[in-house]
Amino acid sequence: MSVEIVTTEYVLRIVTIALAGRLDAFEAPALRKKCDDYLASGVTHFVFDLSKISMLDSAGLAVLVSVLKRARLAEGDVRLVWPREEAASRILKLTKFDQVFVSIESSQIIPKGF
Amino acid sequence: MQIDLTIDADYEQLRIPAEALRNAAARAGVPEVTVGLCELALQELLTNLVDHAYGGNSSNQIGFHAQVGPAKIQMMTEDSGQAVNLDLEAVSMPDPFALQEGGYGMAIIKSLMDEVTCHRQNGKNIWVLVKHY
Repeated sequence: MSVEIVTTEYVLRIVTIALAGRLDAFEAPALRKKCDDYLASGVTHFVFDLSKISMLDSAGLAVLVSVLKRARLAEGDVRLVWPREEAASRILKLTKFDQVFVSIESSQIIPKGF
Repeated sequence: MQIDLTIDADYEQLRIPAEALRNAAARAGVPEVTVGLCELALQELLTNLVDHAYGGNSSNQIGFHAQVGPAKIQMMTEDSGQAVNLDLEAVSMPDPFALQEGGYGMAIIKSLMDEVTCHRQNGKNIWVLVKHY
């Protein structure tokens, strides 16, 4: 009697969004639109690479939080590659979102734990 | 060093006062970290004015005045939008784990600045932010 082999393949889509420059009230709507499109297409796992962001304000932060909230509702999650510039990381510390978002070293690394 | 300018209540134009402040502060030798704190506070305030005072109507204007001194930066804005009805003392940072998307701006401003005041004068809201360094 031959062995029965059943294989199941799972494909997990992880979208990495690399940002550079200012992520402020003027730029945030474009990012929100892009994320809305991905969420609508079924993506629930995101990596935001903020390493080249020069400035982040609460409007930009609101987009990241919105995506995190909706991703988690769909059993997904969001990881951040931390900003190098203090002007960008400052708001994450001030609002204590550095305790909420999981950070990873580089967007090239597929995050563990998804 | 004095800055006086007027911008439209439009998100894109909010960068103009920040850039003017950065240039003046650099000439005055203000520490980079202080400039960064003031820039973020200013950005949050101006965004609040566009969103709340003017309800997103970009045909309105915002006046910006700043004094960059040897030990302090004072920033002042004028807008003719809705009168501010806010208890500044009661403003606190939302719990981040609640994943609230808004309501951080004024708490951020308070945490960054040494003095934050707002009063109504001649039909205008006058916000004054002060940072000592």
